[in-house]
Amino acid sequence: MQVQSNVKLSGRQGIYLGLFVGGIFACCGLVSMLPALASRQWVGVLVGGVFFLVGMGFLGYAATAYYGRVRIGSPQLTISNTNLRVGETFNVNLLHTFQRDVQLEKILIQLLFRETATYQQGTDTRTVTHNDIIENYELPGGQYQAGQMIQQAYTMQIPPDGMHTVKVRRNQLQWFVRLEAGIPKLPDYVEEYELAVLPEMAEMGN
Amino acid sequence: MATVALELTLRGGEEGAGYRRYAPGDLLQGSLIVYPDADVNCKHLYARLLWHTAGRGSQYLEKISEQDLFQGTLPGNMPRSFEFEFVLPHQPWSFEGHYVSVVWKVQAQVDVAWASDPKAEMGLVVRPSSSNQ
Repeated sequence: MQVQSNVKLSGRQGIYLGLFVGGIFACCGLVSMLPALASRQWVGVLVGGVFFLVGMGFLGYAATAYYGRVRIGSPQLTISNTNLRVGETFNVNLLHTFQRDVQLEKILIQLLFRETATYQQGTDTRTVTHNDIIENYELPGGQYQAGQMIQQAYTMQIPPDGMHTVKVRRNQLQWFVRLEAGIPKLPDYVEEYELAVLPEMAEMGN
Repeated sequence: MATVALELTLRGGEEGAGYRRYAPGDLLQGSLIVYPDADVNCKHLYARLLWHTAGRGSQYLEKISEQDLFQGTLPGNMPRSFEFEFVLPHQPWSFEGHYVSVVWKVQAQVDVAWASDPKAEMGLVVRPSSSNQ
């Protein structure tokens, strides 16, 4: 069986976005607040303070998301084949050893079909997505101890009446295997692995 | 000003509920009947195979093939028939989704000098049947 390396798409994106946006807002807030404070211009202090607090909010989100990822570690998801045909089955193996004690609400492994559409509304560019959960497997939540290992194998199938991957300007149809772990009071741990589904039908039995 | 009526007919594939279904790679054949009510100076008479996205996103359109069926004068009150054929590509397949759909069409257009161009379109479905598995 061919083992493909995986392409990680999301998960850390929230952290990077939080750091980037939070950093910009916090810096802008400080830059405008400190001179205003020195010259006792209270309106400037107020506006700069609001920017600073918004920035700190984003940075706080990034920090909690990063902390959640540190608590869980790096689960290894192996997909037997990431170049698939419509109707083809493939295997997904989840292997993870917890480095720290962690309480989890749930662990989900999903096969997702995602439509992404980007459009112009006035001067704004907007993007909407719609996820179809084709297969959903859930591991029970609970307390996982440091050193505890989970190993699960799943067989998934691109539906025979499904669609292949399409990526054209402002319109995308994509397939993903999604791993999600819910940690109480922290942002969910999410990793997505894109599958390339070719415009070919799988032969019977594949 | 002359008016031109166009009638598109597709052949091959399978008959569906109000559409014809073709497998990727199939040969699509069709005919176009043109009914001008007066003499028309036709710069080009095009038959095109194209697909586009539909739905929430900005439209993406791709012209796969174009045939110039006729150039010259179309005599008035004299229907004329033209044949065309296209080999369908292997992708993308027709699809109807929540935000994104993929729509295939055959389009006919009479390019008339200094006038709006009469057009006709006919949708089709490009998708392998499940029995092809």
